Amino acid sequence: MKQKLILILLIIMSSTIFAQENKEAKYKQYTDKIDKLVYYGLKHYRQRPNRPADDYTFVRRVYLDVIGRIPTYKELMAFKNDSDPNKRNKLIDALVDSEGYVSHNFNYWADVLRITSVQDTLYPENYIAFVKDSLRKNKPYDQFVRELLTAKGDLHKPGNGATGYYMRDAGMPLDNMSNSMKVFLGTSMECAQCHDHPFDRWTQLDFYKLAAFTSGIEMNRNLNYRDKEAQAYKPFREKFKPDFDKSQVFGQVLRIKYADIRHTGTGIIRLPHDYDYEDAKPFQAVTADVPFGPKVKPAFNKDSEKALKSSSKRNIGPEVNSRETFAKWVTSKENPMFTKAIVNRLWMKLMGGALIGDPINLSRKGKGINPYLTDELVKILHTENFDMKEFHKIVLRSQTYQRETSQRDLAAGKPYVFHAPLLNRLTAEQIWDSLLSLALVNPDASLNTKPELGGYDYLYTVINNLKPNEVADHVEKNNYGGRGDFVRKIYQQAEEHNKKNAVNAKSIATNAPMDPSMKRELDDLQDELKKARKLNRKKTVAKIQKQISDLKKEMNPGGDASMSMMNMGYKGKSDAYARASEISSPAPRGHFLRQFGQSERLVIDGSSKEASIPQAFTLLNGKVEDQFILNQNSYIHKLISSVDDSDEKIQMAFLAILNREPKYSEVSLFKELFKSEAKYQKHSKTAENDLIWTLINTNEFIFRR
Amino acid sequence: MDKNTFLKADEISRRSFINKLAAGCLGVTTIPQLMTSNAHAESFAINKEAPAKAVIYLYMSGGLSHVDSFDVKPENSKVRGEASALKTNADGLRVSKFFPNMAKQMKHVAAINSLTTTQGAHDQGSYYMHTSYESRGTIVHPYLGSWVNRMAGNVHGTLPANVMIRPGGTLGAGWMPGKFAALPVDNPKDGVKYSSRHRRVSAEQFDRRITVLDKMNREFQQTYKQTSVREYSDIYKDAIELMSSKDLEAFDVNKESDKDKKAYGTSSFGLGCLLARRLVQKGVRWVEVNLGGWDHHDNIYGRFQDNSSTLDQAMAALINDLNEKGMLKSTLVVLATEFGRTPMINVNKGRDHYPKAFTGLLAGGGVKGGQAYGKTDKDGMNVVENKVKIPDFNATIAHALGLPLEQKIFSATGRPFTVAHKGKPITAIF
Repeated sequence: MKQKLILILLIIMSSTIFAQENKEAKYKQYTDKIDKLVYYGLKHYRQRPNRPADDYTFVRRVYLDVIGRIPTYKELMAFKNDSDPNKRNKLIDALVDSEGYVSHNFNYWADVLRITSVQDTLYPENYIAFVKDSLRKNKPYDQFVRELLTAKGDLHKPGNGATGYYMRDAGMPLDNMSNSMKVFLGTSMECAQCHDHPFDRWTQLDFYKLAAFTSGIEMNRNLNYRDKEAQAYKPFREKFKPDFDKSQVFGQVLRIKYADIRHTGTGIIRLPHDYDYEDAKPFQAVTADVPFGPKVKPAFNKDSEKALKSSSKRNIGPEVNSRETFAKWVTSKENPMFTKAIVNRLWMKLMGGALIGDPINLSRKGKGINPYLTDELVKILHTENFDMKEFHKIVLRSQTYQRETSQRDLAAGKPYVFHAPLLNRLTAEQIWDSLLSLALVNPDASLNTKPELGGYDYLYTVINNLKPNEVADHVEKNNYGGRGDFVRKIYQQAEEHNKKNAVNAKSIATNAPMDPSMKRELDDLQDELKKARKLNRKKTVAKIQKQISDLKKEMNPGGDASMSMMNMGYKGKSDAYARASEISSPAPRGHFLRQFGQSERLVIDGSSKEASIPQAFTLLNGKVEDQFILNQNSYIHKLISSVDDSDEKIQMAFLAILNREPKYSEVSLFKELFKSEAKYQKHSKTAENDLIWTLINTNEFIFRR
Repeated sequence: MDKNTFLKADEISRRSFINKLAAGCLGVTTIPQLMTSNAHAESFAINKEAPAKAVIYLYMSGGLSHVDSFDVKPENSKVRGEASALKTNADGLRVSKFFPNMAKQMKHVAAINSLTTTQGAHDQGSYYMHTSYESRGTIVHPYLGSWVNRMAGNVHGTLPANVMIRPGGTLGAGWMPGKFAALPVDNPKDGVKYSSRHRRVSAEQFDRRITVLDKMNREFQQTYKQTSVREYSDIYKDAIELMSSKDLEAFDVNKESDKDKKAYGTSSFGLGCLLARRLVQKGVRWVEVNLGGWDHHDNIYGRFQDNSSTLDQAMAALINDLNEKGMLKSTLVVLATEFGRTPMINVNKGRDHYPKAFTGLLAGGGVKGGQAYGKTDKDGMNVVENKVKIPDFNATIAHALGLPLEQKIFSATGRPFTVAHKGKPITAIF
């Protein structure tokens, strides 16, 4: 029996090893092809690939590119000391499969999709939860896009956050169509909204035919007064009217309950009143058609025919599911732009330079500097059925990605043919999250893996099934106060609700995959605890329990890091140590993130990497000093204090902040600083503060090599 | 080694750090990274004879009630509320009793009583007022200050052309490059944020730090001879230079006399107006000062006076001060807001948003004072004479500055735009 078990175990073990080996073989086929094509491209342009990057450079780069922050000292050393020849691939997989991937990629998509409140009355938590959940579940990209484009139903219904996509452009369906074409098909045709495109082929008629697919869509920010139910609210509205606060809250509660996206599309649209071309007349009804790619047509019915012939100037027609027809066309593998656009984006995100061109303005035929490579990447994503994580794992494994960046800008006139990733300033979110990696032992532990209900979404679940009189009762009973109080209160209630339903702190902490050594330590302690309990050694049990609790605190530092430097407002976490992906979208005005170029979420890809003096001021004299340098509880301080020797302190600080060993000249530079501080200052921490301050302020810190 | 050696050590010529100071501090450029190619010099047909050289733009966010301020209807008991009228030092012009100081300045002021907007929500209204364009989902328009910045530049010296004094940052530059955005001043008392040493860091310690930092950054820049790296090296150099620079003094409102502070009022808005005057005096072209809290949906007379007295004192002091210093002729003072408020008082004793008719003020900068332009009916509900649309109002400001209203500027995607979006300036008031 025992032998049999061992045999089975052996088979299982070897089969997983085989599976991994098979997988690596698959990856290698892909990466060989990519590297070869890149090499041909370089050869054609008489350029040469750079040499491979060393471990330190690689590990910093891959952490930043996949989970949006630098590795902590422990993570760095764990990788450094791993002797497994396959360790780079292991790290790539661990990072891509971690919650950090969700966090970092959310930041990216929040910029692309312009995720923000709608007119300051509808907050985007549900939409945020949808995007994060899609990333977490590694939803195939085409499915993700289809779900956005076909979303309907209540805005705040948990799980239905895809509705946020249309609601973002509430009241502006034509702008929304322009944005969809830009984001998902890299096609810029907004000029054609108002007139024929002056230097492209799009006509205004083309645009309206496209817009016909989403024609009829209703984006209700509020209770729709054409609905029967609206009548039932009338008396309550009158009743609350004299009480200003209550009537405001009542209005807001109705918004939460009733904001929705309706209608699957008529496929018919009327041209604008000022339509000025010969091919059609103002107010003429036209049917949906696509400007390129495989032809599709909504399933029109008899009522559609009637609507087409009607002399009405309004957009009328029955629902024929034309939005779904459109979504299928957009995401089809035959659509010449869809895969090309996302491949261009992903490549640019990892390599730092575009594969083809400006992500929102690609030409229909253009395939970039290396068309064979573009074709290959498109093919890979098709073969992998739009599996985004797989695509990351493939590109990250390529030699092309793992090369050392160039020291100089490309010479004028020389195209970027992917000789190596480009040197890039970190995004605002990467800088912020990297600073947090210096403050927290395990910066990913606090990332919330469980979809939490935002205040509005929570309230939705409470009131969704209430009848009009009960909704009025709810407002009356809860005594919310004015609108400000109301928002605060429901966010508090939601927080309590979430706490009750959250997985406990321990499992959050151990969910975080980035700190294997601590997890091991915890496991060991727990084993010891079991043993001690068995042997009934009370003193030892108590001692181990305390050790465990200390360790847990260290692993989940959200609790003790309680310096509330910034008030983030109720829309996001109020913790000054919250990750960029968990602060409101976008962060409040004046926040560090905004200063370093986080998108205002007004236009697609609105983030900026422009240098500015206020940025320098913030790092030189601003809150960074309080939060990360003077704060002696921060991880970086504890780390440096754990060794006595100044050489060692310097070594550690370099590894933790710049993720590399200091050069000899750098060690002596800082040793001198230590000496002079010892002369001037009694406080022994001053030199350590200076060390951390200086390394955080170096340009090297905010660049990715 | 001290800071000075550090600063002298690099011989890069002094660039306009001020452009950098403004650029990017708002966290937004709307131009994708790829498109920010080398901008070439632009030229604009500025009318050199234009009277105004600078603008102080006072923005009342929330919607200032026209019938409680500068378009009073004292004869109409349905509308009047508590806003009885005061005579002013300009014949035929009246203001509400909440503006006694302004009553003494109206001979310098043209009241535009016939403003009308298409936007009834705050964000959209404010956007329209600031940019002359209705807000869209596909582009962000720059606001007037950025147009002025781009077309006219600064008056003289190394100071920025465009400053915005309001808590919590500023507007971006829309589709224009980030450098045309306003330099934000969060709190007029503090000047430029974080521009002085952290309180816990001594001067000597700071010097020691930057000595080491400088060496580190030099080495990095020598290794990575790339534009983006050099930009950051330059920025650090500029920032440290600026910390001890005289230019920073322009932002130090504490250097103004106690008498002036008292005159303007020590509220944030009062000091903001004083700082605005100081900045214009030193050569800044456009300063916006923001005062919020006008959204009086309920109990309007419980709170209106807190705000109105702040505005009344500061704006009257500003006009008076500019006049005494001989700066009023060349400085246009604007009072703007997103919309008016319903002339009929609602059940909550408040007034709601009213886009159809409202009031803005223009003073100085070549505008003839002591006049009212445009008219509403006896209820303050409808414009009955000389309707002024938002682009017209902004075109009037641009006209006072001599900006070319017809000249197109193209966005990065090639869309043509003009300052004030084809508005017609009210030339009759000059």
